[in-house]
Amino acid sequence: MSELGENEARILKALQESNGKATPSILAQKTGLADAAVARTILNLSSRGLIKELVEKRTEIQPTKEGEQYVTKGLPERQVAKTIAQSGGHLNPKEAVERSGLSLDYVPIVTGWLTRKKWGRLEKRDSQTELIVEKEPDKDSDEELLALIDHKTLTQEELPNELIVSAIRLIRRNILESRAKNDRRVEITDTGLEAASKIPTFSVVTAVGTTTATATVKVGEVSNLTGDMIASGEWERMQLRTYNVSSNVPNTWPGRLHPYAKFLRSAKQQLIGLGFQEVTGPLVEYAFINCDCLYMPQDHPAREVHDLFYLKDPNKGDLSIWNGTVDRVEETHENGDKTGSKGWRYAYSRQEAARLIMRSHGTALSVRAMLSKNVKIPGKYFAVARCYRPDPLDKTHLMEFNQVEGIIIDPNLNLRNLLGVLEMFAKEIAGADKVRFKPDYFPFTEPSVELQAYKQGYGWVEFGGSGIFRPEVTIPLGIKAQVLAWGLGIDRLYMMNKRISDIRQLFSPDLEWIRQQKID
Amino acid sequence: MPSVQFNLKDLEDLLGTKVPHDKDGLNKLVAYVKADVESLEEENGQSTVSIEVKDSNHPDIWCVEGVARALRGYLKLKQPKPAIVQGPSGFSITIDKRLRSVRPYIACAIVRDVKPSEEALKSWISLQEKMDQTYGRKRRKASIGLYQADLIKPPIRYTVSSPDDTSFIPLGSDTSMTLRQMVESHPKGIEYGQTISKHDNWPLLIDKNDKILSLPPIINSTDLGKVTTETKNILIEVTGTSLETVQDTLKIVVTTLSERGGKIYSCTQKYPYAPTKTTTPDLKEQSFQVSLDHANKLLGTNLTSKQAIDLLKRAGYSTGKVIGDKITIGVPPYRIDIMHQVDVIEDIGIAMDINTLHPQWPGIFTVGALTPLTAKLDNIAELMVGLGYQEIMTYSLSSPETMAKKMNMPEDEQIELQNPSMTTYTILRSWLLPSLMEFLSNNTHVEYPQRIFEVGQCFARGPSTPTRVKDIPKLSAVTVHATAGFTEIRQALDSLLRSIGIEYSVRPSTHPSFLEGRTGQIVTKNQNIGTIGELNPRIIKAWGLSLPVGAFELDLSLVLNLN
Repeated sequence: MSELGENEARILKALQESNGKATPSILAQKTGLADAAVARTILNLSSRGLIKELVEKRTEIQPTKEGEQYVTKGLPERQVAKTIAQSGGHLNPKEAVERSGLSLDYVPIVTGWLTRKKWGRLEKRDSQTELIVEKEPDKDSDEELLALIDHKTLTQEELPNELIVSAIRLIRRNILESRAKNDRRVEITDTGLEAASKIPTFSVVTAVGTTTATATVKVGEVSNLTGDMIASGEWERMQLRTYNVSSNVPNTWPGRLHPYAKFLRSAKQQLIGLGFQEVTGPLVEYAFINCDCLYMPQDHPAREVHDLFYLKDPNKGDLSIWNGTVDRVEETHENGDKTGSKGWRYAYSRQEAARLIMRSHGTALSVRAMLSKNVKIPGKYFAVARCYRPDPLDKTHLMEFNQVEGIIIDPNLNLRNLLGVLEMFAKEIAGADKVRFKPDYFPFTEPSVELQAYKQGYGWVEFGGSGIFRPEVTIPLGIKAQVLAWGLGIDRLYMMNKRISDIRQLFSPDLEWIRQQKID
Repeated sequence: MPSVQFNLKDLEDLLGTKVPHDKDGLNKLVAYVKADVESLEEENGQSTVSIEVKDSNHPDIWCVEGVARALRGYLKLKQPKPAIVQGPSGFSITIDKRLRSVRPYIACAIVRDVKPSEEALKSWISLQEKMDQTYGRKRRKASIGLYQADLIKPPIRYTVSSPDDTSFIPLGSDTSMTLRQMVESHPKGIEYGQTISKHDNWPLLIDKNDKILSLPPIINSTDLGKVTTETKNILIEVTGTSLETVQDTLKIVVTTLSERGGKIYSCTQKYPYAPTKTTTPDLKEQSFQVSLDHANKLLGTNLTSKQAIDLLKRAGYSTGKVIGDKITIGVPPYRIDIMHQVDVIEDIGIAMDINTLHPQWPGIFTVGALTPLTAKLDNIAELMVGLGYQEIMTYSLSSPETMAKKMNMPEDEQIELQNPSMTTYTILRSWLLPSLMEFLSNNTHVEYPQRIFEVGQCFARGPSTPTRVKDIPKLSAVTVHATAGFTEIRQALDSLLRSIGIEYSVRPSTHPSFLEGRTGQIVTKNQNIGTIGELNPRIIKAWGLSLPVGAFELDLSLVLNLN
């Protein structure tokens, strides 16, 4: 047998000291362990056969709202009896009830109980029915029970027999209410006792006011249905203990995908369904690929330290593998080269191009796709890209975030096709009701279009940016076709779906929240 | 992205017509200039609007005058005659040869008969700031100065001075300061001083009577360089390191001022080096050719040349001859953003209103797929879920504290960011387990057992990798509860690797984060692919946990044989 854990030892010891039986709450009290810890330890111990769990049914009784009043003022029949006895021993029933401060609805009830309890009787005097109560009656068992309960809760099974009858009566009268309760009690087994005796003594919180538990297991009853019993048919001769199938059980948490990761995966599946091929690429990227290939001039404000994470060491990559491309990109930036453009007209720096940064947008992966030897025309490519931006982490900013980006390459694409793609995404992926388009700006696309989607309950939401790659982008990369490029704000879409207002929840550090997310 | 504030009444005056006063209506309107309404406030019957212009390469619309000019076309309102140079101002600027290595270029102009309103002054100052910041690259490439022309006696000398030999009263100060004092203590000096501070001699603008105009590109003198609503004639000066940017900036400023009725007069610059002599501003239109075929192909339209010409005019271009499918257009001097005919074609699309184009899904048949790597990583995540582990997502940026110190690991070999935005995220993570521990430390109040995993990217130096840093996908899994231990975590590892067909063994080893005698290297084909074991209680405690932790970490690039 493997060794006992500390909690297990404590529980066994506490059980041994409680004559082998105790409720979990008493064990918690005795051991000083938290309730959840006790519950877990009990499960462990019982699975090892060191203890048995018994479930005892009992009925808790307590006064109803109406009953609470009677605890203070006495039962209505008592109140009325008192009034009559103090008013000369006889009164008209209505008058008696009214004088007692009760509503007239009580007349039949009170008359009924007074006569049934033999505290009084009805008599005709001067052609009028009168209630006669000669003297204040003694306390009866109903009242005794009420006094005993006071405003608390009692266990019906613990009452003496005569009070049980009262309890049933008062429950019927809606003065008391009852609730069935299952008390879990734990009993130490013989092996458990043996194990407990080997535990060195350590200080245990002294128990206060324990009650003696009574076992409810019948003689000859078994709790575990074993393989042997089934094989031998012996189970038919045995009395299998019945379980309380409606009682609660301890939690168990399944393994699950992270809700946001799952969402990203399903977005990928949707894009695959639309014929897009996935592209991946390095997270540490050249400024060349992240910016230069996208025709962002090297001294552009968007390339400063507040927009890109630069690496300290290593800080430059090996550009030689892109030699021909670097030449063309350089010429294009400086003078437009063969693109028909004037270019940015400045002195291009290969040192700057070689700098290493953390990928700042998914479009870097579209560049990777176009640079690939295997690029197909026509072709459709997408990426779900982890991207980085040197923002401080707060409610609306993440340093690491995700973008869904894609391109469609074909010689015959136009702005209307771009709008068609955007409309499809908004309706298929975001479930938008309507879309509209707005002119937008990116250094690498012309024309550029912002997609706005309308969703019932949200209004118009900016949903993504897109455009047709400039010739200054495609020609140096050797792409002789039009390229539609689009990017969707997938983080925002998820937040909208899950009604999350704090963007940090995407990478939620909260296990409880993750466990409780419903699977749609 | 530049943000432009203005009064709606001012925009209406410039347009000569009413505009919507509600946010939706305004948003629709400013969509023509690629802008969104950021805020709309009404006070004392005056509506002030702030719009964010998305185009960071279109400085002529970074002010209300430019917005109005662009909208007039799109709204088919009457356009005033294009701004022209009325004639020479009689001002000339001589340039000191020592400026060649400091701040070589200057372009000036005079705008007469302006008398700006408060609104106009606000707009110009804000345009000046935005252009200095972005288009002028924080005043390095170009910076703008405005002066009271009537107080200045030509010729102006653009010269240099040693930082301690010259002093004047700068704007925003009551006392005279030396140039060095300005760079060291004046707010503008602190902000922009680095553009000149490395030089021995600093630029200076002086008039014929030795009155100082300014210390470009830092600050004007308060005597000459303060423009008010009383200023009728304004001298505009742009200095910088790029001749083209300097001259383009001047074009935008003078055309903006002329939108308020100012008349533009040229100045002459005489250089002891190239370009020797310039007369600025040059407000000639640039001739440009647009192919109608290309426009129709790119927009998906069937425009006739007549329709195209009409749309081009609305977008602010003048149009000339049409030969074949080629339309010759004139690009206004302030449209410094036009580099390629696609820029003009987009303007045709905007003039049409892109919402009138009929969207058309491109019927291109292709087969979609995940990359093999993604598919494999997803399979591993699926297996871990089957083993009862909860997937988590953590950041791939981290700190030496998390990656090394709290894990009892050496701090060498970290890949650091040059410009971290937070002190807790300064390096690229090298392994996953610390990210998982950090997660667990945030969840000590949550019900146990806790079993979590992540498939995530880690980083390592890769001298033979072109980007010098290798992305390494890793898997780490952790089980934490009262009876967690080696057997349980080893069962998970075993089950996982068996499911993907990897034969492996665990070799006893030591690891600074794990408990000696209860840790091992995961080895396949004599290659170390990971670590497994029970965490050292000191590490457990360092993370604020108090239960046993079983963990493993696998290098998936090796497991999946990717290298």
